[in-house]
Amino acid sequence: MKIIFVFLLTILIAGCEKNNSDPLSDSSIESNSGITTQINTSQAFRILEQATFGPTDDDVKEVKSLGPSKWVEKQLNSSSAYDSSTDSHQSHLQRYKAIAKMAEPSTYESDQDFNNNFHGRTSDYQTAAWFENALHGKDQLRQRVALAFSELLVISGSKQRTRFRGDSLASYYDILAKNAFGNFRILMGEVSRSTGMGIFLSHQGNKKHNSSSNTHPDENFARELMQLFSIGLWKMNQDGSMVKDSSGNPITSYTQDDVEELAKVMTGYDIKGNSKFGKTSRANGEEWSSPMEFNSSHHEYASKTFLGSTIGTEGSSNSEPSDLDQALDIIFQHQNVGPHVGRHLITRLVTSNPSSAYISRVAEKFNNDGNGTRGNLKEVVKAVLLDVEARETKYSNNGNYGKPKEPLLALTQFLRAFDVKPLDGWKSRTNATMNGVYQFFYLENIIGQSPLRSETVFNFFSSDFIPADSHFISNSMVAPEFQIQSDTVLIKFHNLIRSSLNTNEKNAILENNASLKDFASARSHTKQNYYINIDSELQIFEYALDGDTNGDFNNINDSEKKKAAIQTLLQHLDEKLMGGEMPSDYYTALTTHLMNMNWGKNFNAKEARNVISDAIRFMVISSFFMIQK
Amino acid sequence: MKRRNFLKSGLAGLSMMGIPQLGLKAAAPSFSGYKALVCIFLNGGNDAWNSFVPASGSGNSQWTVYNNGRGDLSVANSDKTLPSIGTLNQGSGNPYYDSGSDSAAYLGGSYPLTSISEVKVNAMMPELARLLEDGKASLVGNVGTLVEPLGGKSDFQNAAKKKPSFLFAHNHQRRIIYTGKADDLNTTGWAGRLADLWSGINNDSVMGLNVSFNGQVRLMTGVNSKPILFSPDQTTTYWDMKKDSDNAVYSSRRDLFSTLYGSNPGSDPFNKVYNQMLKGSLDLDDLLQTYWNSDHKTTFSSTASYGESLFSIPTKTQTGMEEELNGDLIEQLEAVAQLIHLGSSNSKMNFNRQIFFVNFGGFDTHGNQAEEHPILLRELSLALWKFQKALEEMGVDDKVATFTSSDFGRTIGNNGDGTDHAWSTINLVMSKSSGTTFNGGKFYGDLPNFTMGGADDIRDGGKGRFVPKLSVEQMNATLCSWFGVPDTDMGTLFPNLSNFKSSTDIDSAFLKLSNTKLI
Repeated sequence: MKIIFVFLLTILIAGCEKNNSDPLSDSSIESNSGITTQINTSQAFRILEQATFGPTDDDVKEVKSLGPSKWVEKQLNSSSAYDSSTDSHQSHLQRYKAIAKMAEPSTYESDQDFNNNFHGRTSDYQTAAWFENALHGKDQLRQRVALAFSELLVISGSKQRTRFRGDSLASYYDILAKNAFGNFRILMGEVSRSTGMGIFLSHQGNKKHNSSSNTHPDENFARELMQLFSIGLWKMNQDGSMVKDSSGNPITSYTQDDVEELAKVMTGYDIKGNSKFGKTSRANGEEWSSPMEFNSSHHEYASKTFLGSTIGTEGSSNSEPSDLDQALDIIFQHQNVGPHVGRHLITRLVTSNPSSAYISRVAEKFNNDGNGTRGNLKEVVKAVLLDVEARETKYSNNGNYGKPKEPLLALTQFLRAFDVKPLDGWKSRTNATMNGVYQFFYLENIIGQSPLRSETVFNFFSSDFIPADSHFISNSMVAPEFQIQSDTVLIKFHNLIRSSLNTNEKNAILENNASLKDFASARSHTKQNYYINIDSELQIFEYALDGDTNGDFNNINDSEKKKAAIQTLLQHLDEKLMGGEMPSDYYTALTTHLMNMNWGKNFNAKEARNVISDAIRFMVISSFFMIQK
Repeated sequence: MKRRNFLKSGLAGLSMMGIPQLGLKAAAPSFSGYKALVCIFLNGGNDAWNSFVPASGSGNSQWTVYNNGRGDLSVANSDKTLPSIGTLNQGSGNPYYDSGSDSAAYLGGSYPLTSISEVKVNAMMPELARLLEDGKASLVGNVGTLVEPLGGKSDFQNAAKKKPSFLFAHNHQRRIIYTGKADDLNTTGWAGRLADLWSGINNDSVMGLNVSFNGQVRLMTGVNSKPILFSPDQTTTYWDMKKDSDNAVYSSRRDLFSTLYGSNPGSDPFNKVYNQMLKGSLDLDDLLQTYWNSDHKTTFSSTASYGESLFSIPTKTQTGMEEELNGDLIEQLEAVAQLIHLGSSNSKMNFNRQIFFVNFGGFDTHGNQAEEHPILLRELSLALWKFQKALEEMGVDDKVATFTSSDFGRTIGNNGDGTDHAWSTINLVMSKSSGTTFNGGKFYGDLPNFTMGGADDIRDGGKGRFVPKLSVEQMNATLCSWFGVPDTDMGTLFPNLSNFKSSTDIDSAFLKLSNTKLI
């Protein structure tokens, strides 16, 4: 009885919030400072789409009760895996190791074993750890910002040696997550010294000029460090606009000479535990999850001049000189870094085409957090999310505002909405039983994206991609995420949602298997191993249909009652998936289709499950779900 | 429930730079017959100088100069015997085999060519050498991005001379290759502009002119046109929504789907584009469900280098290499061959003109070049051979021109185990050798002076980044002319092409050797 009462209450409350007599109507929200205190469901939903891996009921409630700025503060100050190395909140690398040990108990017993073994699917353990954080982590904003940085300071395990040492990928991700609310200069330093980056952009094993073999230092990392990671190609004003010379031409921010000089700094670094400078065997004690070590005999100690500053010659010794830090300091101080990093975070979290004023306000915080510190990412992230342009409807109601969701984030949002959990009992590649662990197999081949799997250092999509549409072209509007939405990706994404609902969903599983464990034990590491459930949807639908939740869906063959129950279902799904914004013609079209789904009277429960599954599937692939405003 | 009411306001609209004035939907010319262009993009910047090794002989003592600069990473001046293809001995019997080491084989030598003296073909590429010998391929050398002709170092350092935007940067060099205008990073792609000009081509099929295997590539993005995106495993189809099925729920799903992608109550620009993408994905799926199956696809009976079935990917046992081939290029070209079969057949899709873009990655060999480049070159050679054989078997080799493109070439100087970004490079064109206008088996252009810091380098003390003497637009325009683009439209596709004319006619900018056009 109690359960029914609660549901009744929930439905009534949900019903109230759908009326126009919403006590929290838009007009009461706006304030001059742009910082809102009380907000409605739709507004709570918006900030959660920007700052988490997908809104949940609990999160919506929390945002509504705290208001956006207190909620953001709470996220910025919440505990993380990096507060303590021994508490139960584990880092990506710690979870990587635990998962690997479970999957391959005879290969990975002690920590040393990670430096003595490699194979191409170790990167799956890094993916699994990532999904634990994205789907269940309490520090959602930190993990979201780490993802954004993984798309700026790119390394990849796709067709790279790093995929054989997934621990290098997991430890790299920890650098991003640990420093997400720290300082950008520290982040630059740790990234530059990481083995993952050293391998990916080939400054691992880089040597100084050798006149007898006529070799010069590898320029790869030096170039991309400036071009992609920090200052970009054109000199910029604080608002991201290009600085022009007296003839009205843009000015490049660095030259080929700068690249060659900076390349000299990036010499002498190699994998800790390496037996031959510059070469790797991927095993034999090589520490791919440690920072690189310094080798003085291969370092260029002579002075270097780049970006208008000179780093003096230092005497050679066995300890690491200061020139890498000096070089990073020089780059860090460049006027472009604030707008470059600021715009990137805005476009990953909030909107593809921010105004120059918005970029400028965020860059301002990067340049000086208010207390004289440059590069304070906590303040930058706060500025991104609490800016008027992120929060106020007068901006978000503009058609040119917003962004397509990254397929990866559309997926996590869907999974979180339906209470995803790991599937217990699936079998690893060595046939070990996996409990409490996810497997997302070659996700990049399905939805075009997976964490740390882009094809190149240019990320999954280009930040200046303009779709072939006259409105976007004539307004020079970008929509980067559209670049990877190929026909194949759209179809595969749809099919993944469908199979999540029809194969990986608890009620569907139990229709065909005695237990979840039975289902799991037939699945290997080449399958997608997780499950969702639509329990609350089944209950809401049945309650609206029958007035009870005994599972018989008795009235489903009564058209009037089915139609009315569908309305209730759709309203619930609208709240859950679209923050209550679904247009009326969607309601009409979905109702028509769902009324066309009829199983015989002996299959009421199956019909109900399929009705709900189709409703969810088509809502998730629709533009109202996939476009974030 | 609430609706989002979107104000359809523009941001400060910046006018598009360099977009030609197109009338309201220009119409495609009525072509009879079929032609296709296939662009193989070697992603990352292919090192041309180890692919096509500078030769000594016929007065070109370039190998010594190249060797001085390249040092340990140069290909030995050792001639290998070119066997006939189709009966290659596997394993240690391969013509390049050297103690089973990929790097030793790669640096071990090259195949001299009968009618080309400028370069020899890296030993890892016997099939490609054979194609050149048989007149089925030609090389275009010392080619790269250019706005106007530049005469080496002195012109490069002359501030009054116009140069391409952002030399040596991957994404920007790719972009200007795609835009066809080396000083314009922001405009549409030349193949996209062609699709705009030829609107309605191919019976107004959803497939349009352009097919990309590499996402929404700028090359194929026009004002109104974008490419169809394809991948080799195009078996993917929308589940439970098959067209013309008896299943009432399937049809109901299709109706729902089309209502959803037809819905944009607030006229939101993002929703509009996404809806178009959804619609396009279903239309393409329906088209492929009709044709992309064993009833309509063809099977190839020819065999390839080791006697393997035509598009089979040879194993390392066959190639005698340490590492397996990637297989990506072979798979993409197999799919292209099938699409050409379907497109060129009057009884199937019955198209007139198609452009295909395939992407072969991994060429950014800053490090481990001697280990990685041979794997790529081996596959490039095999793939080109297999593809051309498929076209010959289908009897359409005279209808197809295949060509390579890459971000840039690489430095002569080596960084210890690799090379860095440079500029001038060598590209390849492949088509039927005889009974056509293709002038195969030739080297178009002149090699640079390979001296590091010399007259063709960008600066004194340089690492061997050479200023090209031919522009990629000259090569692409020559191909487009064969493809059916009239001279009057060349300026739309390649606005800077006129800078390369040697007389008043635009066709004086096309690639010619003793007055014979490349194709």
